[in-house]
Amino acid sequence: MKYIFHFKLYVEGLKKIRLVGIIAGIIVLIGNALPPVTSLLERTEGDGTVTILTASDFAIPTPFLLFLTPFFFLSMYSFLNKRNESDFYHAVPFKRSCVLLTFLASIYTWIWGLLLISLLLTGLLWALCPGVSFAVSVIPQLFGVYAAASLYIGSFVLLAMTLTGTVISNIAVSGILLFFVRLVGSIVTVILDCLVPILDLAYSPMRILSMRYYLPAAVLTSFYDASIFKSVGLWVYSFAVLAVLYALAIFCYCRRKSESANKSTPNRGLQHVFRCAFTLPVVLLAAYAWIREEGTSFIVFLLVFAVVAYFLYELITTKSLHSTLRAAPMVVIPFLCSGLIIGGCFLTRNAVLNTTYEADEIRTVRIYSYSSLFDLFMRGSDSYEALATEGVRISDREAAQLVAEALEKSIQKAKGDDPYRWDHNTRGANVEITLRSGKRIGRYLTFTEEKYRELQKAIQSSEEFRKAYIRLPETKYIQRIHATLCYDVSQDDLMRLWETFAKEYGALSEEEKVTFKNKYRRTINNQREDIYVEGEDGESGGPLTGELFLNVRGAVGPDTFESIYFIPESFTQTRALYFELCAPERDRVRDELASFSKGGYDKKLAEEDAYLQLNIYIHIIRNGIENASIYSVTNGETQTAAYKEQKALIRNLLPCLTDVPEEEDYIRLEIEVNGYDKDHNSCTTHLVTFFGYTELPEELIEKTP
Amino acid sequence: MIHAKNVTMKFDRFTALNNMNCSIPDGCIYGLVGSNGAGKSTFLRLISGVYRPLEGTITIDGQPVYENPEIKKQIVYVPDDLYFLPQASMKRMAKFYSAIYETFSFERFENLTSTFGLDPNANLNTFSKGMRRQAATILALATSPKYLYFDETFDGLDPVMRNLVKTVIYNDVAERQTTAIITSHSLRELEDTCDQLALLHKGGIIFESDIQNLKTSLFKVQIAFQDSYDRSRFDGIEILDYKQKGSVATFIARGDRERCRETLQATDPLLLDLLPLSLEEVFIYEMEALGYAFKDILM
Repeated sequence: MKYIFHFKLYVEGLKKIRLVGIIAGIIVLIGNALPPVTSLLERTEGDGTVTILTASDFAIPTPFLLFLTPFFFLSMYSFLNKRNESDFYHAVPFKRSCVLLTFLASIYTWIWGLLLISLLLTGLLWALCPGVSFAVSVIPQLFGVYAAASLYIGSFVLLAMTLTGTVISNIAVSGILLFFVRLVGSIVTVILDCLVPILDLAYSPMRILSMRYYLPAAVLTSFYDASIFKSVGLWVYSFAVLAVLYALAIFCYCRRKSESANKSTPNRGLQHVFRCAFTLPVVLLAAYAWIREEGTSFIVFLLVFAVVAYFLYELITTKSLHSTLRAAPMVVIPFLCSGLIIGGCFLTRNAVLNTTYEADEIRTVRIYSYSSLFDLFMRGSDSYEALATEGVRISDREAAQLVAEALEKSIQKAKGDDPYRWDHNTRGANVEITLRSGKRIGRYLTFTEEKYRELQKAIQSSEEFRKAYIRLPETKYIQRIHATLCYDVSQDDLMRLWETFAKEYGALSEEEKVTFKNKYRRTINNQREDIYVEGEDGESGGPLTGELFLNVRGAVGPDTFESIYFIPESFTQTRALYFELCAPERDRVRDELASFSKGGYDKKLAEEDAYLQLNIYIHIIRNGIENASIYSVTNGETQTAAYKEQKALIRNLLPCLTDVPEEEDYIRLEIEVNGYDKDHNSCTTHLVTFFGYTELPEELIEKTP
Repeated sequence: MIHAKNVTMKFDRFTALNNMNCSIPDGCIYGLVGSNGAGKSTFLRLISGVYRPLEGTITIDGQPVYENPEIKKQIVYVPDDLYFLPQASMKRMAKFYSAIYETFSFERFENLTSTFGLDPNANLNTFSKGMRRQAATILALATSPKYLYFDETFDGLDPVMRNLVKTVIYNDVAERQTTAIITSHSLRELEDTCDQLALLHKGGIIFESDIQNLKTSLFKVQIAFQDSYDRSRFDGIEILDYKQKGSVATFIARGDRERCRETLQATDPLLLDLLPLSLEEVFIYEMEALGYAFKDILM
């Protein structure tokens, strides 16, 4: 224990940084309290809607605590920057590792304590807000994520402080450590992308530089998409990095000399390294500009900027003109390093563009979504089928042949004068190629439209593909289900509906399942056929489908999906349950409609309004998926003319409405009646929804576009 | 016992200590004097475990000091450039020290604070330089360590305070065999306080001795004879510096004072005076005997 922790020193550490802690606490606690308090004040009237908070919007200001993490470290370990303080802490009767780790414990007590308090406070305040709901598990989830992120950031800052001895160099080196590898990696990625457009770096060691493994970026973008945190790779990589960095920091601190305080770095060698690291990205940018054949003046500007940055770094960190001038001979180092890196990129280009594979050498192929090292977000909201089939490696020979041909053509194009030229009737695809040798590579290949279709056909007819394609998402992956116009049905009931559907689907043969999916599916590229409602006045009413469907959303690991499964006629149990759950008052509504057509509404409305706006939405389904719809709207016309017309329409329609399906077509009828007084104030609104099966009346067929 | 053997310490190209050897016994007040840049502070930092020597070894009671909490908890080092917690009072610093040093005594702290007449609740930033040194001294003494190191701490204290501190240290030395090491660039500051002195010059100890022995073993003789004479009349007496003007001779002698008086009286002088030397004078003559010009060592 004497090497690791001392309780009294820990308490002193807590006191040492209490000022920073209090300031951070004020910022985060107030910031976190504002949204729920604001909501509480705005929602006191209770409008009946319920907002379900996700992790992303639960405690928005909390990540700011991560930006404050460096300040805790700068404050606690400030003794490393002042000679008298440094001497004092090196004279105390503790092992150096004990001092470092004990103070580290003090820092994280503050950070994690504030984090926990702010999240609990936020949870408490949101719980008091009417119309707001959240899963309590959000709190430990967010705590875990942000605690880990603070550990990650802290490791870089601590290492920087053990290697430097002034505040300026602390900050500069922290920034270099935190961003250098990513920055250089990003620039190299862009350069490789330019030189070797067919190369997918996700299949190279450089995939470790993917933004998906970068915890600070993940935290910042979690406001939009929190699914990144389900990535195991992110956590394994992050914890490996911070473990190495903390170990290094302990080692450096134990070796550190007290007299390093107030010096930018303990020795000139380290100063050279940091200075060159600071300059290298700028030089690489100049190299990139050269590769891209940007203007000479721009390239020269970048080079000059690099040299200036080099000397400025030395001047600012050492505050010594003499030292700055002494650094002059080493200015070539970043340029040499850049040259080596660019050379490596060209070697990679040669290697990739001079290597083709015959179909016989290819064992399997796989087409997958676009993946970039800059792409932080996990693939989301694609269909489950796309998700399930994307992971499938196809051993089909025809597919291998098509890929081999495309590889050769793509290489030729990449070697050409205009590798980025877009050709008509072509499309690109990311293809994973697994060779018989076991090697796996990723390439971005260009296909003609025809060849692409052939490839798709070959893939989709393969056994591996079909097996994956016909699968339904397992219940454990499903997070939310929506059914057509089912607004007040609980998720438990909808899950029951889904299970009934899955059971009926499961009873189909493999061939029937394929047919089912093909008939009712979206395409692999997730293209959806939206149906729009056209009004008589030309206004679009938005996308509508009239089929009964289940919209299933979920996630498999970090990848989210959303699929639509239509409920065909043959799924009688599912349909019956659907109507039981979603249209339980069908009979009542029908009677109400009948009374309406017989004039039941007349009296009520005539008593209240000066004129009537009557909207009738009629959705007609023909032959399954294909949809057509019309609606009739009266826009403030006189009561007499429009009203009578609509009443007549309904009266003709009603006899056709029946529960017994005789055709595949059916009608969903919505009648919205709005009454207005003389001053155009709304005084009556009535919406009636009815599902049923019917033959199509002649009047409607005529009006159908 | 503090033992430094062949210790060398360099900072970049500057050699602060060069193959230094030193042994400091327990229970003494050891003064280390030297000019600026002689290596005094470096030595103190080495024996308090702040620095690790580039070469050589430093041990206390046979154990190395560096990264040795068991030894370091017996040491309190009061540097020249003092450190206090920001915006702290003496009381706050006392709590801080008590967290670090197990032997810290709040009772002793309060007694000393009261004795020195300092306000324990006042912000240390409001203290004068001398008061800050007093505060640091009090905190160190309240820890009751076995080894106390003061780096030019007393240089800023007034004689009254210096006397007070000296008394406290003497008591600690007497009661608990505390060893105190005090550095200074002024011999006069150390003369009344230390019982052992060493002179540090260019990274090495060039002279080391017990103060009492120093003061008694060297003395000035003024003697006059009626007849003419020269230095040879005083053969048998170890003379460091001899001056003669007419019939009066003045010389610095080393040896037993009484025996020397008897020897000289036997020569039937007209005038004989044996005068004590100040420590500075002792050092001057000892240095010259060693071949150093004292003015080149200490300003």
